[in-house]
Amino acid sequence: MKRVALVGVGETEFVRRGDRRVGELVVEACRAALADAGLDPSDVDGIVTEGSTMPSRVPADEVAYALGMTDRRFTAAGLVGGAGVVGAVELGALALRSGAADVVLSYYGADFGSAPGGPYAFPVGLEVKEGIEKPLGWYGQPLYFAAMAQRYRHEHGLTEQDLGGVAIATRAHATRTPGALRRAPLTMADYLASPMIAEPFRALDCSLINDGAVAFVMTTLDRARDLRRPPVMLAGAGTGSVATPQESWFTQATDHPRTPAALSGPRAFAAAGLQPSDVDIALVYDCFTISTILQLEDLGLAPRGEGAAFVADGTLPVNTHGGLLSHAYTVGASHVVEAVRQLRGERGEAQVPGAEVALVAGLGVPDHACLLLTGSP
Amino acid sequence: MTDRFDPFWAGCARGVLLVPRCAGCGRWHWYPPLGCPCGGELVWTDVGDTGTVFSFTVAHRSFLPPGAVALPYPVALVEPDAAPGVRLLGAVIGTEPAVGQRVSVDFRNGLPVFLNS
Repeated sequence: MKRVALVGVGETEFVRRGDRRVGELVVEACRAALADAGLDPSDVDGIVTEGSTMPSRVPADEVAYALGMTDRRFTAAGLVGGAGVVGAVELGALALRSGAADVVLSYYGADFGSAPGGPYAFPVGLEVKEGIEKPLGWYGQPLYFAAMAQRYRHEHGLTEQDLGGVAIATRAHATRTPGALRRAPLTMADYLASPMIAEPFRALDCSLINDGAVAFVMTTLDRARDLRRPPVMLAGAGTGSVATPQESWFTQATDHPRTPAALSGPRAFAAAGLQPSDVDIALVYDCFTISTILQLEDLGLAPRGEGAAFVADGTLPVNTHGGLLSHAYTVGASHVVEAVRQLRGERGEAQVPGAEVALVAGLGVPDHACLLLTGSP
Repeated sequence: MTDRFDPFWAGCARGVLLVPRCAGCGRWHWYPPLGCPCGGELVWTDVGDTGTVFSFTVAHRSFLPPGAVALPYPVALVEPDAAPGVRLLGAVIGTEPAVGQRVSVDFRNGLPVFLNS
């Protein structure tokens, strides 16, 4: 089987509220990723994106035109949100291994900071939201995840200091990340003074909202050997989807509050021939503090009920760029970029010494995608 | 309101909570699905008026249109005794919500609410 590598990454500046079209941001990020790899747009013959907002907001054909691509043999849009952004690497690998494409570009553009409705205008589940959830006050992502945190608290115990510890540890990483939106160190007093949003969440438990774009480039190892940067290898990937439909997942999931990381994680580990104890850094979709806790446990990295302490104690470096909480809300794309940079040893004062295996986890209910990446072979 | 939930709201208007139940296998489904895996007919059925709080939050910020709700407000997921696994949404009123709390159903302005019982 052909081995697949991530060979280039690129980002725009992240801003709270910008004045550029999201597609223009994506093109800039794509150019940066191609330059990082030492590839020309004409080398790219595949585009893979997440499947919820990108196909309509930033279509592949528009991006291909603006980049000056000459042909596109393979185009695909996968799962939704974080599962789609992270899972794009698995989808791209399928195309590369099958010969359907030689070089695959993936991107994600966010304009939640400037678009009307921001992240509360996701075009999903409208019938459910309008027909039953809004009239009963169940609206806004913080409420959905807050109810998961309350259930978790009932099952395992969860103090406000536990949640604060995750926010503080994540921020500590962001202080060492150029371009992170929140770089001021955070204390527990700061956390406890943060305004309540939906119990038990304060503002500092919640993802940032911003504009910005991210891109990455993949190819086969044979092709990667001649490129500008050391290749980062896809050791294994896994996707999992629970039976509960997306629009009812937050209220009706049979295993609430667990995530489908419990399905994708074991598949990724089996594909890579690795175990949770082999992981050196974890980049986990952290739309809320509880999201990090739940996925670390569901992936088998942290024992059940101990995810918060696992992050706060630094048992394993988690979200070493600052995540969605303190770096930027790029729906998991920057998690992929951070894994690549850590495995290339480029992170300066934020470099995790000896990082050889990175796990990337993307949640986009009812789906989850998990990657295991390793350094240059 | 959309067609998919019309029977639910019609039930609330006359003081009953209706949830689709399969006439073939007896399984309850919420939200209303495209069909039951067994292929049986879905019938809107009274789910009773008692249950347990599965989880909840108290919102201190609203993501709804301005003026839609007064802050802070509680919203709970309640499992009816008659249909374990189904979780109905609504405010818990007259008491602080808690996971595991026993509640009974009432209606305010056509909306279901849950009272400590």
